[in-house]
Amino acid sequence: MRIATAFQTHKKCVIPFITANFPSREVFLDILYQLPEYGASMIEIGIPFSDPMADGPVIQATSFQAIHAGFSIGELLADIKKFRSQQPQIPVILMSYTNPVIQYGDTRFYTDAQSAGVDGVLLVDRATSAVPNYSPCVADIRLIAPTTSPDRFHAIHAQASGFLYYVSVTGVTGTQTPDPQVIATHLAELTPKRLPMVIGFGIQSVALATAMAALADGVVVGSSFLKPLLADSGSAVVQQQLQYIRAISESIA
Amino acid sequence: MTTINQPGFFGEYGGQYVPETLVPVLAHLTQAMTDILETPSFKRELADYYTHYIGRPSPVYHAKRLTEYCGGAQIFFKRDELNHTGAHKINNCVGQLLLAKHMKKKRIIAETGAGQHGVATATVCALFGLPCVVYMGAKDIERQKPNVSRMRLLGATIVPVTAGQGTLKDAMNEAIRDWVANVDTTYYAIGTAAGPHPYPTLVRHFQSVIGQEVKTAFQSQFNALPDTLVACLGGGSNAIGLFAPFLEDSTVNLVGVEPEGAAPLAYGKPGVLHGNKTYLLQDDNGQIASTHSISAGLDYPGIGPEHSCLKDTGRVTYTTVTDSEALDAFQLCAQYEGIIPALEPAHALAHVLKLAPTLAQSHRLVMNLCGRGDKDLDAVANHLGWTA
Repeated sequence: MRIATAFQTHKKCVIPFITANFPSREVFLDILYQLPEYGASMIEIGIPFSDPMADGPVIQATSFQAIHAGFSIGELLADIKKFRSQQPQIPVILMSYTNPVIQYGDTRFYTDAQSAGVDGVLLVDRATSAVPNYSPCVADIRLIAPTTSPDRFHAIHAQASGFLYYVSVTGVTGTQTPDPQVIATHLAELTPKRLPMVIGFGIQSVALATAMAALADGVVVGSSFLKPLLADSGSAVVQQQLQYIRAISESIA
Repeated sequence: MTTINQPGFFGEYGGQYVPETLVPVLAHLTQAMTDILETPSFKRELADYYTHYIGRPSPVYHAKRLTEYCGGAQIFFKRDELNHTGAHKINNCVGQLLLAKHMKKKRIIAETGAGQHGVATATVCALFGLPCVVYMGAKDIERQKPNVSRMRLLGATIVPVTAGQGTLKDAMNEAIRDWVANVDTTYYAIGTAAGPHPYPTLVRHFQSVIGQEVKTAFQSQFNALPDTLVACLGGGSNAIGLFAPFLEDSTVNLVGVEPEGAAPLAYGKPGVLHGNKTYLLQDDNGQIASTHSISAGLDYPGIGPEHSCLKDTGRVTYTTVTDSEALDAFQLCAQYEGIIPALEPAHALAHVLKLAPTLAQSHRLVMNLCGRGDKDLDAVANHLGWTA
């Protein structure tokens, strides 16, 4: 419900992506708790995986850093539960690869995610070999790619819930600049749409976020949000990156 | 055991765990396989390259001195190290690149561990006039230098991969990222019987020539099947190529040999990596584990999904050998048979040296000598403390 409400109350949704426990658990939590004040209309949290084949260098580096510092799904879900008790409104989406989820136990994962107050799960590599979604209360967010045909779009659309996530480039996260015209042409072929659609991958500036938001119901900002924190995770840089989210929010609202 | 009755699954293993971007290209590849592989013209073309370019069939050779040394089973080598480029990898490369040509792909990418698949891909790209990019772990570039030079000479671009441990797994991640970014133009030639469907099936199809030739040779020479087949396992392409034609022949014992330091079938549990569900070395959080093997070609935390299924059903017995056992076998093979094996099949031989003495002299054992060892001489010399 929180997801539907977010799309109703915001003209366009701003969805920052942050790798769990990056740059450290403390700073991650600090950012998480501040994001709603800076215009985030949903938050996407990445469960780090050692072999993230759809991610570019920034998300890879943030993931390795979090794994190296001892990331675990159990601890993240406990942290989200605490966050949820203070922030009852903002939707929280978990992004992961299949393996960490099935090692945690897929039934257990969806049950625990639901009880922690997670609103949706996106498994990057689920494609055609689905992990069963055991909790009807957790939205099954699916990717749509530039290579997705109208027929395949309809099949995915029929299974998905919450929203659809349009991958703006044929490529990995944070490496290429998407072309709004190409996306608009493809999106025009993908109708009718029952669910809201957000656009992500490669959104590197306020201007690009604004152009993309005009084509959809929201934008996901990941690599460009996290990249400066790889070099310096001090409070000044954290502040600067939160202001970046605020600037996007103000520009597209 | 859960059986998923979908194409591309082997029991519960295999499948197509990939980002959405790759779904249409995998569907296209699966369709091309169905449309093209069994056509007479494709089969004729492939057979012609096998005979006149690779030099197939490779001999089935009776290793008499090693047989005598072991004092048990009769040991035979399937000599796939005599293929052009020196390993079994080219069987698959010629097949896949012919398919890529039919699919009108303009650019070829590959991952490589020991460099044998990279060399084979670069070779066939040169033959067909296609640009070739090979992803190779930085650690593997260091320990397989001769193959790096061969690839360069053949005109391939080599991209060193420093992420992770800088080995085969990391090279495969990077190749997949390239592929995701260039799906329209690029054909990804996976070198082992792993990855998303249809690759495990496609690679087995082209490598099965190994087992078929063993069967034919034994029929004409002994009018019998071999009693035991042994092969080493990295991703498992040479092993599945040897085993596949014998899976229904229940009298034939099948043995796969993993390196002790990279043995997902012995020490791993099922998970999802590189597009397929299979046994993996990993921690409790589902992060893929570090591996160590003296053999770059076997230094991989996963395994082709069909092997995971064959382990669970018990049709194939899987075992491990250590680096030092492989090094001993490497030297023994050179000294007793005048054949320098690659470090990869030296693992298979290390197990044969343990197994053969326990078997009767009437027992016929075939080991896949899937690659030659020239590429390993520097690494072996270092390990043995030889100085120039």
